[in-house]
Amino acid sequence: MEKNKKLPVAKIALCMVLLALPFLFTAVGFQYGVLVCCFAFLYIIAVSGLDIDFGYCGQISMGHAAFFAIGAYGSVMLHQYFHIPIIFTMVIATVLAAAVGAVIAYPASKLVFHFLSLATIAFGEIVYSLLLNSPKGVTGNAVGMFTDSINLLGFSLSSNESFYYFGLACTAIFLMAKWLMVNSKVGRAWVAIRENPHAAGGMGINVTKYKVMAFAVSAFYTGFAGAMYAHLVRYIGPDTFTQKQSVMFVTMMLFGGTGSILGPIVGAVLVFSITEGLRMFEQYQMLIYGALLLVVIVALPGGVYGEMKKLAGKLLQKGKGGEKSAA
Amino acid sequence: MLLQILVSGFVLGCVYGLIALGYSLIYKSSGLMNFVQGDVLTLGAFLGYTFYSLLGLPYWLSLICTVLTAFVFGLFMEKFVIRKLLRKSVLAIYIVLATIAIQYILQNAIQAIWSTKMLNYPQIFPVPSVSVAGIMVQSESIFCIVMSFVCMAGLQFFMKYTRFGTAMRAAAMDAKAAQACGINTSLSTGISWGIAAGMAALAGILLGPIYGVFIMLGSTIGRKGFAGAIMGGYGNMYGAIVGGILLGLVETLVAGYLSSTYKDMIAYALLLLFLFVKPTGIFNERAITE
Amino acid sequence: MKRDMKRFLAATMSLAMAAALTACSGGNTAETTAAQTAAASEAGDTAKEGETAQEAVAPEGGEFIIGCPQPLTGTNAQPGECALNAVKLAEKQFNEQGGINGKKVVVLSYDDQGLPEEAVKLATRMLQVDKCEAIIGSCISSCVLSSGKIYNDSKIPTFGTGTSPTWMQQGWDYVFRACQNNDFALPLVVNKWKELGVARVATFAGQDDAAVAGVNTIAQLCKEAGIEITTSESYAEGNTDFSGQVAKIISSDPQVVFISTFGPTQPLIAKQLRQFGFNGLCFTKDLYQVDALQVAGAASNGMAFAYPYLTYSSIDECDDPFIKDFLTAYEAEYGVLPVSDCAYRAYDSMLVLKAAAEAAGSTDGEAIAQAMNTLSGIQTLAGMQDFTQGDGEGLHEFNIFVIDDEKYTTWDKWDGTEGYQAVMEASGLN
Repeated sequence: MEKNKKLPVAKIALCMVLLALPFLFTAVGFQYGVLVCCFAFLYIIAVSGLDIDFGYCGQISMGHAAFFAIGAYGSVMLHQYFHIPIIFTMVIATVLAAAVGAVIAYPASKLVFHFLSLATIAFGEIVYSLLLNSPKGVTGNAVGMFTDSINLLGFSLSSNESFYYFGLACTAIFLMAKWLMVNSKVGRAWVAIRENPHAAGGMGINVTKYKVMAFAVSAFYTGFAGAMYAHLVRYIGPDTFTQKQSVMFVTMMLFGGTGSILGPIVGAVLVFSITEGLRMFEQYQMLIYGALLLVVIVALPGGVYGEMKKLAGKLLQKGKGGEKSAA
Repeated sequence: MLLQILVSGFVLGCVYGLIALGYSLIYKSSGLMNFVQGDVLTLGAFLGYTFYSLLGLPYWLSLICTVLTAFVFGLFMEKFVIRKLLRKSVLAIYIVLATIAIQYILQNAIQAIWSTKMLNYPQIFPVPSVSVAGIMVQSESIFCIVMSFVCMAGLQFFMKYTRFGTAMRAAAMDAKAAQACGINTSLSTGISWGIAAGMAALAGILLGPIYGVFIMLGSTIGRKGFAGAIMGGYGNMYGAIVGGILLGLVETLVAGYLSSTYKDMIAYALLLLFLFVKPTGIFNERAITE
Repeated sequence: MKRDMKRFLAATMSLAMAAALTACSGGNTAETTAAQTAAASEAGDTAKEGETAQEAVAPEGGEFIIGCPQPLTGTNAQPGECALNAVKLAEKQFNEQGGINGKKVVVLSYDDQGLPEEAVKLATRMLQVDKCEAIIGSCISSCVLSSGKIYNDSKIPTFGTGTSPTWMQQGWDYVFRACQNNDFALPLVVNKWKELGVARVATFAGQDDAAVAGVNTIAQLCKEAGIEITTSESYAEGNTDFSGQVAKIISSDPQVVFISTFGPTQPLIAKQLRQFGFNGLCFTKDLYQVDALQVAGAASNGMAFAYPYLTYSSIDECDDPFIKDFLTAYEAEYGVLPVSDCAYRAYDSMLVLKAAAEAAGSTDGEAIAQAMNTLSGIQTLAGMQDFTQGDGEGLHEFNIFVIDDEKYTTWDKWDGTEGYQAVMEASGLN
């Protein structure tokens, strides 16, 4: 019971730290950290989305860069060609990404692991190819497009610090939504499908419907992250939306651990920390990154957070056992 | 022009087929997925270059050395990474991620060892090109076609008619039951990863004289090979080659007659169509259920 | 209870991660740039100046920190590596000569992986953490496009090392180029075609920014010159087989093929064109690299391009004394000659930057940028550079080179030789 009392303190402390982080970074002369956090936020949203699809519903996707691209390009193009205010374009583009996700998910939902991953790779390649060779060059093709920063109620989020708070708020909202979803009837249906689609079907769950739903929701998350990316960097080009990016999402998700709220956060933050830490190795950076990745996978094949959770679970069980025997 | 396109599409398809064979073999023998094939191809090209050009070994010997080195590499990869993960009975996706990590390592290690320079693989045959039905084809391309068919037939025979091949298939279907029957499942998956790597390296050493040797040689071919394997019927050796050739032909025909800009897009769209409409591929290979 | 525990654990984890992040990045700066960064951020601190003066040979008066983001891994690792080597070489040479304006030159290099996202992060990092005062790089257009605004807004003189026209069209006053702008060289190519009486040209291009820009410029110029484009083919990055495209190009019966590609694709397309029976004249958008020449061998004959310089397989082949000196120093330092001309581009950028800083008498970004527009007659590997036109571009003159008998030569020398006759005949230009 004592822990329950302590808990809000930890929560409040975490909130305080997150809110004060930009100031802390500035105080120690490391403003750059603010930008890294901005990127980390959008990756957390994207990877959380992917986790809904894979971690909860068991559908792999190696082509989520496509939805990232639809969110980013959708928002930029709507703003550029129809002059819709940016925050609305982000929402429309995100919905668009979800819609495309649903369309793709419908035929893809019957595919299993290897086949689904190849199908999503193919989808990603098709979208990438379209970005590079769009009809009439509406996407700017190889050159890409420039865009503006988000304007929220007359307040421009052009500085990294202001974007940080926007990103923080968005991340909180998206994570909260994820938490609500996975703890609802829908979430339980997803988990049932992940564990055994046939049994789930037998229990009266409409497997296709829920699979499509999971895919669309995950496309929604990734699409929004893409829109955030576009207005953070204020330039988008096809180079960002390759297979590499999809692999990055999957890596972050698996690095942290799947099927949880915190796993993707841990994964994204860790991968970001590693890449920042390895910058000094220049051309060997990716070599070391690969080696590190391999070591972590072999040592912790459930993701960092996943393994921690298992460990904590074991410890807790022991503790509980102790309590019981004492009682 | 049509004949020319058909011939070169066929050559390209055989290369995809060689890579596809590796994917199919690993799938058939262990039900696993491996993303590292394309980079082993690159490794094979560099190894072949080292043995043949730098060390001056005869061609047949450098070919054998390359394939053997890659075979050992594949074996080690299975033994020290895949096997370890399998023992911990992790989600299959973590094995995929492990192969992706190996891919990073391989790509960057090749760069660190052999530098970023594009290397010239000297010609193997005294005759640079052969005339086939009035079309000039590089001799190495012919060799490539021959080798991919030899590999296909050899593997099919190996899997179907040898004790070891039967054991491998049994191991893939039900590892526990196979083990109970006295089959060494660890060895059989190890060998299949080794053979897959060996074949990718073979493709690499064959492609060296045609395309030159550079660090990104295998990146796209690897992915296309996977697509070929699925189109032909995942797990079927004939299917791997036929799927590869189909993809090669489609690509070159699209580039020649439709649009080179949308070549890759059309190839991937065709793949999606296959996956959605006929995931068992041309050879109607029943997929192992997960 | 269990959930509480989880949350508590997670909270501590997140904190630990945040700490790790700071520590990692802090550690990085501490290890790589230890004294430099400290000294730079406290340039006015005399005690620090004393420290750096001790370790440097001649230079006094602080440091001039130059950031060098280049793609060091992946598809474009080769140009990135060559560029970085050249910048490091220049750093060494400048410091031996007493630095720039008496300041020790310090180069900080990073791998941008050819990704716009990395470029943006690196730009912010180099400006905010490393306090870089000038930037050399990247050779990837999309990286300059995504990060250029950051450099420009911070008034940091930046030298892109790519040849695409696009990133110089953004109106950035602090972004310069000391290498070829393809748009400046291609008119020379089309003029040559007019001179030869070429009527039909086919184009073949990659799908990256520089390649597409090259083909678009050629299409525009051909339209003006009344030259017909018989077909425009393209390929996606990573592809190695172009037989479909080549067959289509040949069946459209062009006299000249314009090839707009980069790096390892050059010899592949050359070989496939020749193998399928096109032995006529080809133009590449920029340098046909020396490693491509070695890989494609005889298939390279008849490949021409307008460019300021060449790459070599041995120093003896080079007859320009200035380039020779550079190559000798480069070989002494790295044991090999640069394969990619990105080495030349980056080295020239360093030379121009030095000249600008000396003309300005300061290493302040604004002063350098102002001095840049008055610079002329600067001796570089590419010849004399002149920035007085105010467009940020230093190079306006190029030569047409051609490959004959598996060797580089100039067009003028080639004109009229046996090899010339053969290629012209194959092109139907007699």
